[in-house]
Amino acid sequence: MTASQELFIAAIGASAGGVEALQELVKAMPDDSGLAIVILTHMPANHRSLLDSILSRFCTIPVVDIEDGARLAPNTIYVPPHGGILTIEQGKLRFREFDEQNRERNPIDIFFASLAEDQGDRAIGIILSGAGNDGTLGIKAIKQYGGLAIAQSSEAKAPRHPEMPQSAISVGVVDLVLPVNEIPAHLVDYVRSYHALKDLNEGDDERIETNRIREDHLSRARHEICSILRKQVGHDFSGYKTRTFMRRVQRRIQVLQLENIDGYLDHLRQNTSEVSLLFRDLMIGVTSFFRDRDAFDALQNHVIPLLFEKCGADDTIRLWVPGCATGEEVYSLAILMCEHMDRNKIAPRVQIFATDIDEAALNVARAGRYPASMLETVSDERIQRFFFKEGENYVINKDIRDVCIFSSHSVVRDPPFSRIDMISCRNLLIYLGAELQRQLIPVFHYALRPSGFLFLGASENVTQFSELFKVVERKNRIFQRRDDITASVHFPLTPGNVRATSPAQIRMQPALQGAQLKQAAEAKVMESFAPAHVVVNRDGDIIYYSNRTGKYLEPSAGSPTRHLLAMARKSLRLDLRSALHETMETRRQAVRVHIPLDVGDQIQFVSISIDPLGDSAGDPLFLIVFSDIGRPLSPEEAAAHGRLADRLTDHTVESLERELRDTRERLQSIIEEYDTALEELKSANEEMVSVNEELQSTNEELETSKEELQSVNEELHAVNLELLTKMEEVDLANNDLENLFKSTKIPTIFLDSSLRVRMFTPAASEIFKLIPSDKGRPLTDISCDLQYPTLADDISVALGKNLAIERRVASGNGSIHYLVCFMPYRTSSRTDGVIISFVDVTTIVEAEEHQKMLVAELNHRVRNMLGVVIALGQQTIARDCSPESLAAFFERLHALARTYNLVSDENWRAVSLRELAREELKPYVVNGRERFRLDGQEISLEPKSALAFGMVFHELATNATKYGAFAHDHGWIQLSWEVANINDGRRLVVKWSEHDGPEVTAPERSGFGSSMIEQQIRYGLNGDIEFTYDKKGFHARIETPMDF
Amino acid sequence: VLPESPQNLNGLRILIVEDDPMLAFVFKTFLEECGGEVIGPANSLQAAFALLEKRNFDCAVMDVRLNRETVFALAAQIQEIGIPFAFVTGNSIKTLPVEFRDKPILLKPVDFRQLLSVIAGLNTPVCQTASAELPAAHPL
Repeated sequence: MTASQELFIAAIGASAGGVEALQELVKAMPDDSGLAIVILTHMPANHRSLLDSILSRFCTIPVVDIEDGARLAPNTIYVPPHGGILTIEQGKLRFREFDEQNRERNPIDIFFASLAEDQGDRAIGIILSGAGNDGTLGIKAIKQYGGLAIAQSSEAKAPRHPEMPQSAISVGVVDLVLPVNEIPAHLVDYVRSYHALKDLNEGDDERIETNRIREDHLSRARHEICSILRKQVGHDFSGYKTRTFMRRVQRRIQVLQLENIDGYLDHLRQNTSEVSLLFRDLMIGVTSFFRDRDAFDALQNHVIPLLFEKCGADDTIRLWVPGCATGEEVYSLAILMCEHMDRNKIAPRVQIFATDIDEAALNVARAGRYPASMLETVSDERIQRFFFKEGENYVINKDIRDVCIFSSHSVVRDPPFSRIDMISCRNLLIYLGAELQRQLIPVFHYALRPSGFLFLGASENVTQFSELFKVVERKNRIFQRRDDITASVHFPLTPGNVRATSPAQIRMQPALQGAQLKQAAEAKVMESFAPAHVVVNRDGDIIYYSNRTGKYLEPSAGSPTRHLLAMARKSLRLDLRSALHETMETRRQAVRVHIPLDVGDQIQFVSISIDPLGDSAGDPLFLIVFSDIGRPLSPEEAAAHGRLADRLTDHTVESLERELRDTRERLQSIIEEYDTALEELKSANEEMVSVNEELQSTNEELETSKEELQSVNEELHAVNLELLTKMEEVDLANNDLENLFKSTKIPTIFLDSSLRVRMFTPAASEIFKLIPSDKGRPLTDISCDLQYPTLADDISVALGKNLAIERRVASGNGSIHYLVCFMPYRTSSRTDGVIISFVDVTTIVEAEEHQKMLVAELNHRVRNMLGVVIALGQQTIARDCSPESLAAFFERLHALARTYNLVSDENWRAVSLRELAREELKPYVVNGRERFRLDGQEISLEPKSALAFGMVFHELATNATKYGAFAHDHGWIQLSWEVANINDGRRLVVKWSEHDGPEVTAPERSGFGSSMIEQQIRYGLNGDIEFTYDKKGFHARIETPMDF
Repeated sequence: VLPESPQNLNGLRILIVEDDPMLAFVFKTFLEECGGEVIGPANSLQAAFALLEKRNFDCAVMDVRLNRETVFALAAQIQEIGIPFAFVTGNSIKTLPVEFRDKPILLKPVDFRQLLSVIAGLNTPVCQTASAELPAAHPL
């Protein structure tokens, strides 16, 4: 065996309320169950199912969409992506779309039936919550092929719609009824025990061949089971096919989750209910179409022609099928009847009354819709003639359907039908037990017309009632009513007797002791010495004879009878009749004496006394005691009593005539009443018939609309559930939005088309004085903290012209700037309002202003710089174009550039004085030797001061190169600075001293350079500068304020 | 290149308000060479107000920006007194308050010929607005 053959397939049918049950089920399903799970629901064709996403939230087993041609894998859940017809062929799924016209009303039945056919005993059918009865026939098919049938129990956590599981349970084929969360565990156990018990039904397996002991063991077990069954239900299964038999037994073992066959035997011995269950399982399948072909052939050939024999077109042939279950037997019979009528061109009316106590099963039967696989036993010709195809189903056609009348009726509780031509009651009696059977057979006898037929199941018999029925065909269990006997039937049968009498409840005969012993002794004495007596019932039938009654009674001519008056000797009859009549009426003792009775050639006077016996109101009994008076007399002696006798005779005649007169009158009035009643009944009957027909057609219409409604309802349920799920998602999204609104710092207001506030974010109340109750008020009525007089106009424009608008608006005090966006609120078709959002752009505005300021500053500096350059040019070279002055000009520009470099390196912030000096004096480093010394603390200069000092250092150094220390190879310059408090202010003092240079003489007039230095210090920095032309070297002292 | 024959400003007293020492120095040097007398230059608003007290000038040339201040408060006072003045600015005319939009403006870097003609215009009432109509002269 390969793994795929081992695969168990659990098909789950669920409908209304099923999603909940499915969630529970998959939640409890282990990941490694080894099962392939196929889920069937009622879904519309064009609706994408969300079942896969719903279920995968509850389990880790992969949930996949069904695809046509998919091969099933273990540990996987298959769900249909949308409505369609699912079947299975050789382990592969087949998925088709619905036909345009015919929507399937029972996809579960269709898949279950095809699964049963394809997978046999590895099929598992599970029916969960749902309305209607889809799945009932399917689960029957699964059971018939040896699979396991499970239904959701109504206890514990009840299904929301219990109709579907109830309907499946009602046809009596469900193995396990379980709460939904316990189903997975049972499935797993079932599969495991299947493998453990596999060899039970594999008689041809080689391993068994080598293991003869085991085979013997099994065979013994089988015989024991058979004998238990025979003893308790009286049915002999030893002739059954071993394989079939053992497969059923094995399934019981699996259902009970027992280890082996010995365990089961123990269980069977101890539990009489298990015997019934096994018996039922073994009897499964007898209600399919034309099951027991031979029996139906016999009906067709021998019985049905007889039914039609004396019928004209006006007559009605009435059939009764008690316990019709899902209707296969009924339709089989109807088909046979129709065929006969077709052949013989006679058309009496045929009525088949099909009854059952179970409404759910009746509904299935009424629909007359069967999956194709359930019609295997029906010939193609019959399918063609009597069914029409509706998708995957076959529906019985109207001719047949019209013949059948389904009604809820209990053969046990309700009065029987009457004037029936044939009763077909197959496999009902076996469920009822001996006591009820004994009561039912007379009921059937009563219900049948003279010579009517009774058709029973293969394991049923009426041999106990051979006086009521004679055998027509023993093998096929066809019997005919005997007409020569009247069974006394009292119905309804008492409800107290109605119980599922199990075979074990047969009472034992109690042993004799105590009071019983006394009774027995007394009976013995009575037998010897008591006068002759009989006991009759209210009909006058003798039900008990004492000894020695022969003197008074004799069998009459004609058919045997037990009637007292028919059996009494002639001379006793008159007195007996009057006395019996008297006692029946008065309930008192009646006595007749001196009745002459011929005994051979003598005459014996006899007295008769009649007493009511017991006080049973329902069925009164009467004791009649015969006693002789004196000895027998000769006729002469008797004549001596003549006068007395004549007198007596006169008296008797008189009373008899009176009685006769009374009786005639009574008879006449009864006949009249009877005629009237008959008339009334006839007219009532006609009315009933016509009403019934109307009701029947109305009922069918209702049935059809009900089915349509039901399927629509199923779909609505499915759609509704998905909507609910979507709603949850929408709720979640809504929550997200809500939280987004709350968390967002962007004030946003939603207005409707008449500018009323629909919604706003909490941040919006910082701008508008909004409170939650303002929803619905026009926004323009609400005061706001904005410099925005044209707000209303902008909203109107955005709404009217369907344009997005942006405005820049400041808050009332100008501290906050907003970018206000008006977006039309667009629905799919039109503009339905405006969304106003306020983005805080204060930082951007400030940055822009800062930038503007920076640009202006830059502009200013650049233009100033250009001005300085131009001025320098004019001063240096405008009037003197010598190469020297040109060089000086460029030197100045370079010096300026160096200082700017420093300043811009420091981002126009403070510049170190030391750095500045080093930078300006850098060109005067010769052969790596610095010719200047810098001496002073670390001091930072503002850009303006730095630029000025840069110029100063440059001019001084240039001057030193021309006339001072740098003009000489050994000269050097000391540059020192310090911060000093002079005249209440902190001032920077910088000293420039030249050493070891050529001799210094004061210049005749100050040059451009020195004028510029002075200008920079005095004018630019509000400082002071003085030059000293010492012979040994030039000195300059600069003093500027520290705090500008 | 300077104007070929420097105009004789005939000792005209000109208040210079300019925070950049180099420019102030150049203006001063140039205007004195042209025969004018420079009052100041003032390098801050405070210094300029101090000079205004004395009222010893005939006209004023003022840089709009002085360090971190603008010169408009000063200009308003000078206007009130009735002394003619001109602005020097690195920015466009748009940065001026509306009430000073009709005043002559010299764009930095300043063309000296234009400086002279503006100063001349300031002291010739007929030509007061002429300077504004001068074609924008390029700096040197």
